[in-house]
Amino acid sequence: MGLFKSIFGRQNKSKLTAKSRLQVVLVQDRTGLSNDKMSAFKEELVEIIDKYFIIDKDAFDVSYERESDSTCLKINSPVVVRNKETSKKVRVVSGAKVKNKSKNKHKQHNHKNNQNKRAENN
Amino acid sequence: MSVNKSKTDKVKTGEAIVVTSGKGGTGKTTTTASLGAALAMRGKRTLVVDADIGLRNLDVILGLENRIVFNLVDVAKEVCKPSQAIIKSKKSSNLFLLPASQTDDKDVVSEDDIIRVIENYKKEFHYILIDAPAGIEQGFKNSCAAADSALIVTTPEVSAIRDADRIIGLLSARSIDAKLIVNRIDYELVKRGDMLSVDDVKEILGVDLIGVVERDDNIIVAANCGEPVVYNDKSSAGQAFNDIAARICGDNIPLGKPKTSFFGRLTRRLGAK
Repeated sequence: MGLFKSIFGRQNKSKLTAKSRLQVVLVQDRTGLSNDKMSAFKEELVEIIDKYFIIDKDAFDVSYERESDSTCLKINSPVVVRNKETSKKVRVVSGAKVKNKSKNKHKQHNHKNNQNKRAENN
Repeated sequence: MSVNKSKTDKVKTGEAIVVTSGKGGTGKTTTTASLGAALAMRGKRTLVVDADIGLRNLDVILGLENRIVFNLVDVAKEVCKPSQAIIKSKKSSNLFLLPASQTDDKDVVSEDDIIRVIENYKKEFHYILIDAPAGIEQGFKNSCAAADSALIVTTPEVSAIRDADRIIGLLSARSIDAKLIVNRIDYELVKRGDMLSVDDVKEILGVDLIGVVERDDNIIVAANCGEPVVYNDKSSAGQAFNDIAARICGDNIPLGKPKTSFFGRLTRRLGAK
């Protein structure tokens, strides 16, 4: 098993570390918000969304991404929305374009069935 | 190898491109010299400008260090005529250098001075490549002042990418369109997972890519001799810079990873293109 792992397993690719570290530090650099301010921003956002939706706070994420024609503040906020049969988990990703050079607004809706043991509310 | 002047296209008005990076040592000067030489080989009258006042290097990379009489500051302060300060390169009658001053600091000229100087040269040159200093202070601002577009040179390393990102933001604030060059890529390290790939860098920075230059010892040799690497047919970096120059001129050269198969590497080592 160990041999199998050493042939086919790739331990600790340093480039993956580099990539994830860069993605974190660049959000700070781009938004000009320190770690503390970014945490405060996320907490306030979560509070607001929490008033209207059931929110998966652990999966909540804010990123600031650049595409060739614009930059975008992306808020990834998995929420639970009730329909007739069951509560399905819905991921709402909305982007507020900082520089609106592109033609379309950036909104994606993904529906996912989830076995998550989230308690039903309301 | 000097280009016949009759093959040179007529200049309407030149395009000024700033070569910048944020971080020092990523290859801005090498890129400026190499692209300048490549564009000149294609019949474009090209001026390369060393905007790194106080730390000039473009002259050395081009082998022109003994021919400097006047410099950028002299032209800005009208100590000399613009035509007196530019130095024709050794190998091409289409390539000229405007050197930096070595004794002043970067605050000695203003953005307006630079705009005036560059706009004047635009009448005579198809392309003006401005080698920016590292950093984001006055030297960088001056380099951008007259630029129509930018080339951002980064290596696939954490600090270079971070600084490049900052530069992209600053250029964007000035509405300067930027394209990316990934320099010193080592495909073996990428394969091992120890170096960010070109796609990684592109994804992180979110800027269109114009070229990729492999790590190449020929660049060191070229610098030692003061001859830009594009004159070396056997150099992958030379080929890469030639391709970038072609893209700048509007040719559609596809961006692709070189062959990594055994046969591909063998043919590359034997000097085949």
